[in-house]
Amino acid sequence: MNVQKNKHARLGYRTALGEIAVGIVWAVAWWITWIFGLFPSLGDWVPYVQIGAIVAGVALIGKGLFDLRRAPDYADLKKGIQPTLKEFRFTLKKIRGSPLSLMGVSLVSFFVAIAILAPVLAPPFTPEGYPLQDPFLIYSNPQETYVTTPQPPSAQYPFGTTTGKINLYYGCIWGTIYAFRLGLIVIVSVLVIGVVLGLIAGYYGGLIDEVIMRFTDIILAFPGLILTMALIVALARRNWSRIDAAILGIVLVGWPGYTRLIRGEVLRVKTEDYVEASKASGSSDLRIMLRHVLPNAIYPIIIVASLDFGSIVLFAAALSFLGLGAPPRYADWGQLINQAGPWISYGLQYWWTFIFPGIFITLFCLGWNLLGDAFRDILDPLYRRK
Amino acid sequence: MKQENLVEIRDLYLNFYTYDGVVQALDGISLDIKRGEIIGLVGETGCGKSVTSLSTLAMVISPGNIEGGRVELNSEKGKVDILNIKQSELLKIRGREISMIFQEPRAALNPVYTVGDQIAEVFYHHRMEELIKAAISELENEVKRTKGYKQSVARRHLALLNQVLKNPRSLKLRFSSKLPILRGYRNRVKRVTRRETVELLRLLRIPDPERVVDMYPHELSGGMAQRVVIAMALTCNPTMLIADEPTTSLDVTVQMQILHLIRELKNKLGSSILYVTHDLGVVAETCERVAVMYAGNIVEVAEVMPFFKKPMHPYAQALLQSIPRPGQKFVSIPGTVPSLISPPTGCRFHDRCRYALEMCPQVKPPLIEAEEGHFVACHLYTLKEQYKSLES
Repeated sequence: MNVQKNKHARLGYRTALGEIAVGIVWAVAWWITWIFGLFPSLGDWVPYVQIGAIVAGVALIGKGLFDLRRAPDYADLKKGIQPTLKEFRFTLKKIRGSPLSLMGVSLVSFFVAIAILAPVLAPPFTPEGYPLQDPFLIYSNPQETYVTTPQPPSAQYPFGTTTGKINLYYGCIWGTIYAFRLGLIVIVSVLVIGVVLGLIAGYYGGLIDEVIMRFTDIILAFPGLILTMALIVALARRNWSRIDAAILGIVLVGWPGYTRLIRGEVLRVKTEDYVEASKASGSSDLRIMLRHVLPNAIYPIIIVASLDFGSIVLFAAALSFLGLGAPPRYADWGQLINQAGPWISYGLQYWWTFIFPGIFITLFCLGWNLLGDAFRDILDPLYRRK
Repeated sequence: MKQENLVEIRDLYLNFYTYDGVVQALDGISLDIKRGEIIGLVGETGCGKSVTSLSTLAMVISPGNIEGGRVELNSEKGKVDILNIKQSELLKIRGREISMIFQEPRAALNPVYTVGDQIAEVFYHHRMEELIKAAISELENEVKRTKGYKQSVARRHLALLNQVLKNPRSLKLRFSSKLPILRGYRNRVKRVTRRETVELLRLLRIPDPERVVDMYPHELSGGMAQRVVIAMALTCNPTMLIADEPTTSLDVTVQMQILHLIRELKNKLGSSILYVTHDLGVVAETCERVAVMYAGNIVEVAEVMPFFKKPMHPYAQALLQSIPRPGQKFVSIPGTVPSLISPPTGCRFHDRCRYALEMCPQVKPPLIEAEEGHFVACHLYTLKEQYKSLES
């Protein structure tokens, strides 16, 4: 075999893929230290770690791609991923074909780009060049805070300033990271709770179902916003940070809807013949649930989750607007609009105070809503081949 | 020749608890299924055919509840009562010793997995060890044949697979079976399974099985889908196969092919088949014995030929007469199927029966052997027996 002659050809595609994966891990590590390495408390070694991480990451990804092309079993890989690639191309075509999906995808990727590039777009430093204590707390010069009237957009403050001379541009950019963080944490927790409880309730039925569903009824009986506010206030008295309290509050209000949705789907799927057929071939309950019921019940929930991503951020903004979400000066869109409160009644005289954060929230929600529709077109087999 | 009984159903009572009341779906039925025979279970819709077949797998779902009786299986390890064993034991019997073919082939296949995946699932449940052994012997060959990188990969996979056989719950395995690249050794087993699956599909005369394994259920025609469902049921060469109206949703030509296939497979594999249907023509064509059910009772059990020549129970006679024939007036059984919430007392057929006697509404007739191998539950024959014994 001529495999032995070529020095680079000894690695299989699995090893090459492994190299790429490790490279990506390094690159992500670099980004995280980029954001959080700006905390001065972490010490002087952070820049060196950063340099090491990005060099190692890029080098590994490059080497992985190089090895992949020369792997002796590259043909196997190519053949193996052919169907996946075909479906992926079909998905891309589907997205390109519908202007609304395309807009949703580009809006969300625009916000992802803003989040990743936040440290470049709005460097977290004081005007004197010192790093900020916490990049999410918008810097304002203590000596100038008494200047209460908002300043219109200028070269120094591209979106102008709001109450307390808060830099709106900085707040909007770093607010994007906060929006993604909030949305991801809430959606993942709500999905996990909803899927686990909904599956158990729907599959086993009987007493378990009754207990779980009555519990969701109890939570659904309260108006969501009021319940969240009560929880935040209760947790704030126990010295929770307001952001953690807000996230927990939104999760508490959000999970019953998902549980009900999953349960309904499970009830539909579990009467299907293939579930019975699988039982007749000796599958255990857990296996039937995970392999047969869940994959057939999950799509509506994924679509609802992507539609909800925007609403959750909107809900958090409402909380902040009421003064219960993020603390003042925190880079959160709702908080910025809260700061604009006194100026809204002046009409358009101080338009920048509420227009800019408002545009960010609106576009973010719109993007996720359109993406949710795109997900439905892609994931739902009824729409996919239409 | 007296054949050994494979499954013995004894005095099976089954109720459904609905809002309208208690539906007495099975009223103490008894049935023997002999080793290697095809027995047809016929009856009208709602007479308890499907429930009987599901009870054989202990798969009756709520609101149904088995009130009493035994379903004994003569397995390799001796007699077991399926209704009273541990869940883990039951899971081993289902699919391996008793398996089931469903009525709607498309509905019995999960739309999100390919045909190959679904058949493989049954393989993994019951024949994992054989598959791993086959993969190991293949890997041993590969280690000898190859060099360099491929050989080292083969060696590593070989070691891992040996460990799976020895100690499947070791920490190293649990770790590496979850990680994307390290779990490559599992693909070896997958490849063996795929080959076995293709073989199985070929046995069922599916054209171009290599292509069909990668197809999704919606890409198959009805007949093909039914063959795949049969393949799933046959994965472990079960000793007992329950076919719940497997050809009802197919058109006549495909139905004939499937019937021939089932007969042929029975001869090849030697399994017993319980064939549930309401089509007497299919029974005449396929089965060796036949059991007739009416409103939760078994009213007649006989060999196929004697049954069609001389049905004994009035219901069976009426049933055979009501098969539509060209040029003849259509005959139907008077009255309607009784509600099983408040079934007729005594013999459940008495209010529709032409020969009903005075005792019929009072006493439930037992299933007696009126002629050799021909059982019937009707007072006409119990009386005759009593008369005979009085005479002698």
